[in-house]
Amino acid sequence: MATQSSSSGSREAFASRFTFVAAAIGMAVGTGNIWRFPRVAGEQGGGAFLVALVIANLVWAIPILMSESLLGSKSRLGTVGAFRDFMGRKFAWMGAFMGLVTIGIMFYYSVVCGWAIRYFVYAITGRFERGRDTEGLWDGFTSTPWQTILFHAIAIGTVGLIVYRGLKRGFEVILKYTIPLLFVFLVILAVRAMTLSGSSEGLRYLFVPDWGSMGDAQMWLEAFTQMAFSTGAGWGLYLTYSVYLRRREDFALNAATISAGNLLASLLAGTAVLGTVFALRTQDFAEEAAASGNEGLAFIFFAELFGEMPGGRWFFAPLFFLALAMAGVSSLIAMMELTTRNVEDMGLPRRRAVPWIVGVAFLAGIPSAISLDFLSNQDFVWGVGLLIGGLLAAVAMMKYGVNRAREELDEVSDFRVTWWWTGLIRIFPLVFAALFGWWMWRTVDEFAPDTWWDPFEPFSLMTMLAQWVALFIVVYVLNNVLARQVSAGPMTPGDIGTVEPEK
Amino acid sequence: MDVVVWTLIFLGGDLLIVIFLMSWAVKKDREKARLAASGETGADRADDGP
Repeated sequence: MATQSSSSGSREAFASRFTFVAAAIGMAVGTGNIWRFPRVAGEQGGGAFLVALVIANLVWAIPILMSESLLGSKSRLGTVGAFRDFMGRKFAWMGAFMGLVTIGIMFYYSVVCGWAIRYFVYAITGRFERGRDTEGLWDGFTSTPWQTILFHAIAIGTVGLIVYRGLKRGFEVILKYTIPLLFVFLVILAVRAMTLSGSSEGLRYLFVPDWGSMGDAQMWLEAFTQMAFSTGAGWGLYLTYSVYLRRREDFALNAATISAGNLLASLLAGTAVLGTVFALRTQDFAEEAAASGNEGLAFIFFAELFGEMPGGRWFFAPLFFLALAMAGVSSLIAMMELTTRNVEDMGLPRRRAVPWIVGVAFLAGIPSAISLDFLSNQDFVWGVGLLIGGLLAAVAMMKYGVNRAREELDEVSDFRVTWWWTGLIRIFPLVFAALFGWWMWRTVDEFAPDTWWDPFEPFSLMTMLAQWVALFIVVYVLNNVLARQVSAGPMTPGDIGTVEPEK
Repeated sequence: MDVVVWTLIFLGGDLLIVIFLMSWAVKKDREKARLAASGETGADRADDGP
């Protein structure tokens, strides 16, 4: 077994760069690639949006993924320990904030994975025959709490079993096979869509640029938002996987490969979804599907088409929902590993930490399993909160020294990190301010114009600020406890006064 | 025709980029492993994992 020593004990390491990249692509590719990307890309100008998305990857995702990778691989600790050791013990709260935002997402994301698993079960039992009332099926499922809770339990329990087994016997071996398989499934679905008569209109909607939208500020902000949600930059997940990175691994090349792989998954899913929708229905139907939101597109509108597609009921429907479930579970694995890594750093062994985390996540996910409004609120609050995670990673690099960080990245990178990385990290706060400001403005102007001040309104500015501030107060007050409790890593100064981990 | 061209540019282009980056990564890994095997100490090799 490949291990690496640190003062916090020996760490397992990914066996090869392929397995690390596969795991990291699995972290980035989630349900959003399959159900959010196609509708946003089509709505925002097709190919023009894709150009903006590539630029957003270069400006936001790749620099932040590289920063996270340096934080994790050098500190060999989870988010809390990494921020403590890079910035000083006064800043452990930043790592806790980043980690807890992602944990907040994990609670409801498990419910979403449960939906995908439920729909896979529906599909393999032939429920998507021609004429099926998919809206009734969705309403029936989501209004039956024992079902949504059961499938939430199946999702979080399955992921718990994988993470319990650790890197080598657990998530590395699972992700090494499932992520290539996920791409094979997406390719099959995309090829099936492209071979349907009339699918070219869907491809036109997705790929042919509407150059007029290049001057549209909203299109650019949507591209940056999609990229920030999709690549996992700023979530702390890539930081966590980088704890298990082999030494002298190439930071820039890995980050670029992960961004490109994540985009490829989105493009394949977009081809599959939009190609099929346009081949079997009219543009009006496609636009109605896009306007119905993520769940509406996947579980109601797209599901309705399987019965009309040759081979759809028994082959393509199971394949689509299996791909959706695999994409979700691979991201959920990363979220649970982030939680486990931080708890382990605080001294609780994995075999005891994981059952606790599964139990807490199951209980905390129940409100989202019961109420779609609650789930939407949590998705809104912590989804936008992820943008703050990206800023925290950039701030950590600035505090550590951007040039010093660049030199350390360069020591091991074949793909040289030059002025572009330091420049992008330095201007990151401006990019963040533009994107974050736009989201704040939308909450007041678009989502809840009359009730933006009401903290009990699901999409109001105040519900978002109230939950962020509550989290901030908790982690800031607990800063010293967290800084002391996390065990020492290779970068930890001798006088930090950490607690020895339990063996 | 424009649909085919733009699909190839975006979908085909991204696929080629992924294949190129992965191939480059594998090539660099092999070079590092060969260098480690020929010139470095056992301790250095251990640092790189298997």
